[in-house]
Amino acid sequence: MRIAAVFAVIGPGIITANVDNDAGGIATYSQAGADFGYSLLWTLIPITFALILVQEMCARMGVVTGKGLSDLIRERFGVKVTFWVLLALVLANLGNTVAEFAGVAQSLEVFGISRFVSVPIAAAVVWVLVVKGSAKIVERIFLVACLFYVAYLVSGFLARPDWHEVAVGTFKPTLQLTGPALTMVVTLVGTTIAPWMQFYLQSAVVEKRITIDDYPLSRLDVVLGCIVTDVVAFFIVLACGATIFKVGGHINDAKDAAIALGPLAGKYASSLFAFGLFNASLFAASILPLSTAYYVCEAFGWESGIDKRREEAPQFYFLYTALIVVGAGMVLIPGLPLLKLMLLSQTANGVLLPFILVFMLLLAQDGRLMGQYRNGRVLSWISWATVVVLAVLTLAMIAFSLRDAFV
Amino acid sequence: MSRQTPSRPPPLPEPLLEGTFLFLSQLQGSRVFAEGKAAGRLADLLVEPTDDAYPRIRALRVLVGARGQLRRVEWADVLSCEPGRVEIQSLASLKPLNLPPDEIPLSQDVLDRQMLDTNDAKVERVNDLHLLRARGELRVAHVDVGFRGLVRRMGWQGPVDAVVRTLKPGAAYLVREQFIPWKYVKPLSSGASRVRLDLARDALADLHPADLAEILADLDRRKRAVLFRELPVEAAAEALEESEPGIQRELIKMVDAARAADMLEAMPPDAAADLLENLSQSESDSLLSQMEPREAREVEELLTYHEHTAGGMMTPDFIRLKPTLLAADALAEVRRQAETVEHLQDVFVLGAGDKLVGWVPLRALLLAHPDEPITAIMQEHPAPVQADDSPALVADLAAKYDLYSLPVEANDGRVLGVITVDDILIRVLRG
Repeated sequence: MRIAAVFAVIGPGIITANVDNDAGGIATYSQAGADFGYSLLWTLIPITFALILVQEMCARMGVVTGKGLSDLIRERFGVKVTFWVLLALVLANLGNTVAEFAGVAQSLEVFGISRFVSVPIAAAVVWVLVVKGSAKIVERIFLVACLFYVAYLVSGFLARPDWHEVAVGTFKPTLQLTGPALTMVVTLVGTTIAPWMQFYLQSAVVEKRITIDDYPLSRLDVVLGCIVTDVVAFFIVLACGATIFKVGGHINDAKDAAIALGPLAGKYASSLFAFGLFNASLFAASILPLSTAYYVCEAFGWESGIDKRREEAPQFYFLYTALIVVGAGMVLIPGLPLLKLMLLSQTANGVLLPFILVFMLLLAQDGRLMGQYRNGRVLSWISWATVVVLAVLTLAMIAFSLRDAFV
Repeated sequence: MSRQTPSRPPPLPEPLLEGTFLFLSQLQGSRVFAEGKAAGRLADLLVEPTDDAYPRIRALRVLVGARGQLRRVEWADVLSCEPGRVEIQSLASLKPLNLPPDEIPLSQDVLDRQMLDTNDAKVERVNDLHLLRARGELRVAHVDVGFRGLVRRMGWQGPVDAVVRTLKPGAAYLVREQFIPWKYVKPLSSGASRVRLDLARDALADLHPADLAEILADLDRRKRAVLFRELPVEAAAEALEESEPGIQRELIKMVDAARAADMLEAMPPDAAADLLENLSQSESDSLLSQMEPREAREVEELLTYHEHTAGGMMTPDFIRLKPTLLAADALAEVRRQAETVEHLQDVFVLGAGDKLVGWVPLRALLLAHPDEPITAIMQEHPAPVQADDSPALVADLAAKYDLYSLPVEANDGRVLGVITVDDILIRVLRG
């Protein structure tokens, strides 16, 4: 009974954490390590705190109100705000979906499978799995396959990094005020605290029917999930820093990124990396378009859910299918730099984040909605300060990128 | 609550068009003037809930001052209410905010919220409210749940309508409004829980329990609670029985123990046992202690069987006959017992010690000659099962022998209960 109760509550946080390390995430962390070595490791500490802050808030809102985030935004801010927020989110999520299918293309090209074969098949498989309702079962397989990330931990140690340098990179904040460095920080923020994850987490908490009595356990699940996410991120950056950055290498495709697993897997590094990337991509691809379609329909009052027939929920199926078809289709445009695209989608997440956060904070500190569980004064101050820092970061990124481009 | 009796008849404003419609979204944010001077902005309309099909707007809420304080203006003090411009009697008409518990603030509790369409048994989201102006009064006519309502709220109705009209003049978008008459609307927001009432409640009680269960699943938790608490006990019990286990757990915790116990008593004992199985030991015990001792004992007995066995699927309520009866008496006995038994397809003949003697399909009993002894028309049941048999075996036997019901026997041959095909079906479908 007690164990069963624990499993009933545990889950949303851990699943969210692993979906968080999707194709875009792996690409971003690898690139951060390859281009900047250990120098950006420190950013993961404030990012982890911000991630916990944001996700705890989402989970709490889900538990207290029993509603999804888009539902709350619609009820509190009306149609206009909801429309623009969701439009931005759908576009960002389309970018993320492109990144997931780019991950599929990249990983299977390591095995010599053309993207013109792998991507359409992957898109069809994802569509069918979800619509036929078998995604929940497959989800567990994906989740187990996430143990792959342990490879980065091992490889990070086997690469024998200079631990002194690692410690300096982790605990001594330094930041070059250049376009590329600032862009990388915004991208790291965007991929770790991806806006769509917050919508997903809150819906998952609601769907699990977690009540306020169970909340302490659920919060533990969320916090642990955040820490797992960032420990993985830390070791991906570390492993890439200790291998690719050390030899002055650069990541252009999956083969280059796989070098980071060399200390562990030797000549099998490419295969291992490809497997991990493929799993992460498909995992996220099976969740992201679906959850996007869900919360759009939720906000506008359209029927949604895979248990509905297509004629019953036309908007839902249209959105879901369009995201997959367009997302996968973009990857097939010849000559598109996939890796750049993956990073760009994560930068877009980072730019969108402060805007979404504003609405979340307004909701979470609303006494009428949250009652005694609203954000307290200290939490509110910290949260708003986070929004300001993120906004300033984005503005700085734009300013310095423009300077780099014109000066 | 103080209903204001206007000292003089409500003034009929000049520009008011008789019998015309307008939308709440057109009025929201309109500037409010008192004696020609700007006094604030219109924030909300308060509707008086009556059994009227189109209830009256009783008062306005107006946002005044730089810090945006809400004030209340009785409808009697409203001179005119036009999109963009609302005129009230005087600044003194701006009264302190008070909300009688039976009034519904439309913008706050209905607009953008989920509501229940009791006519179509669907949960919808409100995009706009359709108001009727007549005889100096403003009434709520319909709820707009259509796409055009969304477009209007975006402020794009003019251009979008024009584009659609050019491209496809007869488009469904233009001609088919998705309006739901207010009398079928059940707002479920927390503030409006005690409102609207019996009218909607009647409509609700007419819904099929399975539809009601689906509606409950579609609503968010608070609205689910509002609706569930308002249902009559029998309707609630039936909806509860049809709901999936996760929602059952949530629903039963929403009501107080006495009412929950009433619902459990109204459910067939096997369904009640299935529900209690999903609760913690202490929750289950406390509910059982609130139930009628006899019914509680039945349920408790069922709880001793594991959920995934034949024992966990059976109900103790079935038609029992003595072997000495004649067909006519047997039919009378069936009629007597039928009040407490859900399924009548099969009746069972039990001998000494409740041992199974035979089985009679009701059809055979109806066709038999009234004077025929029951022992002459009964058959031997082809597949009695044991309490610890698996659900898969039960399903196999039911399919093999085309059975509606299977008796469950104890080791000593005593009949413990009967498994009916509906419970087998659910077990098969849910895996």
